[in-house]
Amino acid sequence: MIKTLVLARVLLKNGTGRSKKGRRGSKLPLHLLLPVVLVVAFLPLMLTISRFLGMMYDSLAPHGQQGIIVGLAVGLVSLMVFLFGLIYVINVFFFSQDVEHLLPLPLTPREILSAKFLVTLLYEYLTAFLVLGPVLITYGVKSGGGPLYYIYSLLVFLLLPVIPLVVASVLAMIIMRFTNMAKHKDRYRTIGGTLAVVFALGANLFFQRGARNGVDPEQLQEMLIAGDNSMVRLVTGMFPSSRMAADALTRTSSLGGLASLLLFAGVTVLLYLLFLALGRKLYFRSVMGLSESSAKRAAVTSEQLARETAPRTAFASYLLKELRILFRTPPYFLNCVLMSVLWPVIISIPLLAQGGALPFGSLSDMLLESGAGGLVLAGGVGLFLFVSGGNYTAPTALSREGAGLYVNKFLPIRPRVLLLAKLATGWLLTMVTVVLLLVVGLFVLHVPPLLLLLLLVLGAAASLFSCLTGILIDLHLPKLNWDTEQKAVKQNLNGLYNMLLCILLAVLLFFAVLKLDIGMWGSFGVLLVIMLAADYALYRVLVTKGEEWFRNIEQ
Amino acid sequence: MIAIEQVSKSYNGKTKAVDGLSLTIPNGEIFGFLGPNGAGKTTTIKMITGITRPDEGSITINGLNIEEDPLGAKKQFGYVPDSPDLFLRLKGLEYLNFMADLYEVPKALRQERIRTLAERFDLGQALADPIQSYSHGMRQKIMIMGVLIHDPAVWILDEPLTGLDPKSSYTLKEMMREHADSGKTVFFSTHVLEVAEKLCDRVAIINKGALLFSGSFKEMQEHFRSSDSLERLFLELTNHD
Ligand SMILES: Nc1ncnc2c1ncn2[C@@H]1O[C@H](COP(=O)(O)OP(=O)(O)OP(=O)(O)O)[C@@H](O)[C@H]1O
Ligand SMILES: [Mg+2]
Repeated sequence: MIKTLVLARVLLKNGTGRSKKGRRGSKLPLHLLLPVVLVVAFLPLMLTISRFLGMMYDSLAPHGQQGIIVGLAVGLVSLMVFLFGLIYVINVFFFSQDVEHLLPLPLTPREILSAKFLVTLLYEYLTAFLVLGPVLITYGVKSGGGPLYYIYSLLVFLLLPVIPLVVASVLAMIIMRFTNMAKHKDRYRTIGGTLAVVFALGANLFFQRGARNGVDPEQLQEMLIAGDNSMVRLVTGMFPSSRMAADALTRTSSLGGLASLLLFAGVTVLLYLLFLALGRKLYFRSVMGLSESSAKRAAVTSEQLARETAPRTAFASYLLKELRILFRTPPYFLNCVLMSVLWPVIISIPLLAQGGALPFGSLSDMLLESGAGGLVLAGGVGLFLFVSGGNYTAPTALSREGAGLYVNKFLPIRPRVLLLAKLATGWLLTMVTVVLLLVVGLFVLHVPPLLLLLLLVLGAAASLFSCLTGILIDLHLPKLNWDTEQKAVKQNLNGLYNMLLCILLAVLLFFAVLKLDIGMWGSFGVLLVIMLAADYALYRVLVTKGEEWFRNIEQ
Repeated sequence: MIAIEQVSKSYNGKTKAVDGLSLTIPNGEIFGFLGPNGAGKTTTIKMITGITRPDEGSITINGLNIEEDPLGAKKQFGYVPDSPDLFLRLKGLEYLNFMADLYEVPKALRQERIRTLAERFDLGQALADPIQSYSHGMRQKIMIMGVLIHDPAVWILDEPLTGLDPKSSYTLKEMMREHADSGKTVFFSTHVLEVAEKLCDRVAIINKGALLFSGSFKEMQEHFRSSDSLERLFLELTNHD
C-alpha cells in the first residue's frame, strides 16, 4: 500500500514534468495551484451549468421530478469519466515513458496498476468536479439538503468515477493487448487530444446555447418525463451502478438512501478488485508488447526516390523540416498547429450560440459611417495580436529542439537562414488563424470586404510582430532541458511572455487610435506604419544580434 | 587536414574540459582519438565542428577557420555525433534529403549516393519509415549516411562503432580505410582499443583535457620501449596519478 502511494506520487510528479533538481521554491505552490487555476478557468462554464440547472430544477420541482437532475448528472459524469478515461488510461498506462523503467523494478503488478489507477483517478476527479460540483451544490441548495446530504455527496463524488474508470481501463487493456494500436502511438495521441478539445468545445457550445435560450418548462417536461424517460435511461443505463448513487443522493433522509450508498460502495470495491485481477493477466502482457512506432519496412521504389529527393534551398528545406516535426509530434500538433485553427472556432462559438443572426453587418456599416472604422481596425489588430501572440510556435521554436539544438550548429546553414525559417513557420501558422478569423468576420459578422482587406494587411503585420518577439524571447530563454516534448511547449513560459508583450502592444495601439481619432484611413496608416516599423526593427535585431545570441546558446 | 592549436575550453568557468590542446590530424590517415571517460574527447570534437566555441586557440579544417569561415569549414567535414537519437520524427529518406539540401548535393548525385549507401549499410528496407522506428544501430547508420551524402573530405566520428552489428561495423571500417587511402582525413574517437590498434595509422591519447601522446602505435611502443598492446600502454599512461 505504501509502495503504491509512493509510486503514485512519483508518477504524478513525472506527469507534471518537474524534476527533483528543479527550482525548489516553486514546488509547493505549483502543485496546489494547478487545480485552482483550472477551476478558475472553468468557473464561467460551471456557473453557466449551475444556472441552467437552477432553471431545470424550478421547472421540474412542481412535478416532483427534480431528482432526475441528479440522475442525469451522475449518469453523464459516469459517461464522461469513461470517455476521458479511455484517453487518460491509454496515456498513463501505456504511452507514458515511465512504463519501460517500471517493468524491471521489483514491483508487483498490483502496485503498478494501483498507482497508475490512482493517478488517472486524480485527473478524473478534476474533470468530474467541473460537472458534478455545480450539480450537487445547486441541488443541495435548492432542495435545502442537510449536512447528511453533503456527506453523501462527497462520498458519491469520490466513488463515482471508479467504476467507469475500471471499465475504461479494462477496455483499454483489451484493446492494447489484441490490436496493433500501440504501434500507432503518435496518431492515437493526436486524434485523442483533438477529440478531447472538440468535445470540450462542443459541451461549451451546448451549455451556452441552453442557458441563453432559456429552458422551456413544457418542452423539458415532455422530454424528460412524458417521454419514456429515454434520455435518463440511456445515460444511466450505461452504468447501472450510478442509479444507486443517484438514489442515495435523492433519499438521504431515509434508510433506503443509506442502503443504496452502501450497495454502491460495495459494488465499486468489488469491481476494482476485479480490475486488479484482470489487470494482472492483461496489463503486463500488453505493455511488454508495446513497440515504439509503426514501420512498414518496404523497399523504396525508384519513383519514390526520384519524387522525394527533389532539391530545395536550405531555407525551404528547413521550413519543411519544421512543419513536418510540428505536425507529427502530438504535443506540438495540439499546442501549436491545432490551437491556430481553434482560436477562430473558440471565438465564433459565442457568436454562433447567439443564433448567428445578429445585426453585426449593419453594426459595422454604422461604425464605418460614424467614423469609428479606425476603432474597428484597432480592435481587429488587438485581436490578431492576442491570438497570434498566444500561438506557441514561434516562442518555442528553439526550445523544441531540446538536446538536439547542437545539430543546428554543425550543419552548414547560416544561423539567420535557420532563424528566418523558424520565423516563417510561426508566421504561416499564425496567418492561418488570421485568415480564419477574417472568414468568420465575413460569414458570421458580415463585415464589409474593404474592411476585411485592410484587416488582412494589418493582420499579416501583427502576426509577424508576434512571431518576431516570440523567437527573440526564445533566443534569450530557450528551454532546452526537457525529456518529453510535452514540456517543451506546455511548460514553457516563453509563450506566456510573448502573449503578454503582444497584449501590451495591442492595448497601446488601441488607445493611440482612440486618442488620435483620425478616421478609418488615418488609423489604418498609423497602425500599419507603427507595425511595419516595429517588424522591420525586430527583423534587423533578429538577423544581426539574433545570430550572435544563437551562437551563444551553450548546452 | 585538421589543425588544432593551443585550444582550451572550460565549462561554467570551472571544469577545464580541454587544456591547451594542440593536435594535427593529417590527410591520408585514420586518426584515433583515445582517452578515459570525461577526458575531453567529445568537447574537442564539438569545438572542431563549431558546436561550442573554444575559450582560447584556433581550429582550422583544410585551412578554413571554423570561427572565421564557419560555413566554408562546415562544408569540409561530415560529423557523426555520439548520440544518434536525432530527427526521430522524420523518415529516413526525408532526413537524407534534408541533409543533401543543406550540403547542396545535386539531385542525380544524391539519388546515386542514397542508393549505394543504403545498400552498403543494408538500410534500403527502412528508408520509408520514421527514424523513431529504427534500432540504435540503424539510427547510427542513417546518421552516418546523412553525413556521407555530401562526400565530405574530412570525416569526424564520435564513437561511431558502438552499437553497430559486425557487418555494419566492418563496412564502416572498410569505408574509413578507403577514405583515408584516397588521401582524405578520418578522425574518430573510440574506447575500443583493439579496433584502434588495428585500424588507426595514428592515435592521440588525452586525459583531463591534456594531450598525453600523439603518434603511430609503433612510435608509442618505441617510446615506452615495450612490446605491450595498446591496451596496456593506454592503461599505464592514463593511470599515472
Ligand atoms: N555540457 C557540459 N557542461 C558542463 N560540463 C561538461 C559538459 N560537457 C562535458 N563536460 C565536462 O567536460 C569534461 C570532458 O567531457 P567530454 O564529454 O569531452 O568527455 P569524453 O572524453 O567525450 O568522455 P566519454 O568517453 O565519456 O565520452 C568532463 O569533465 C565533463 O564532465
Ligand atoms: Mg564523449
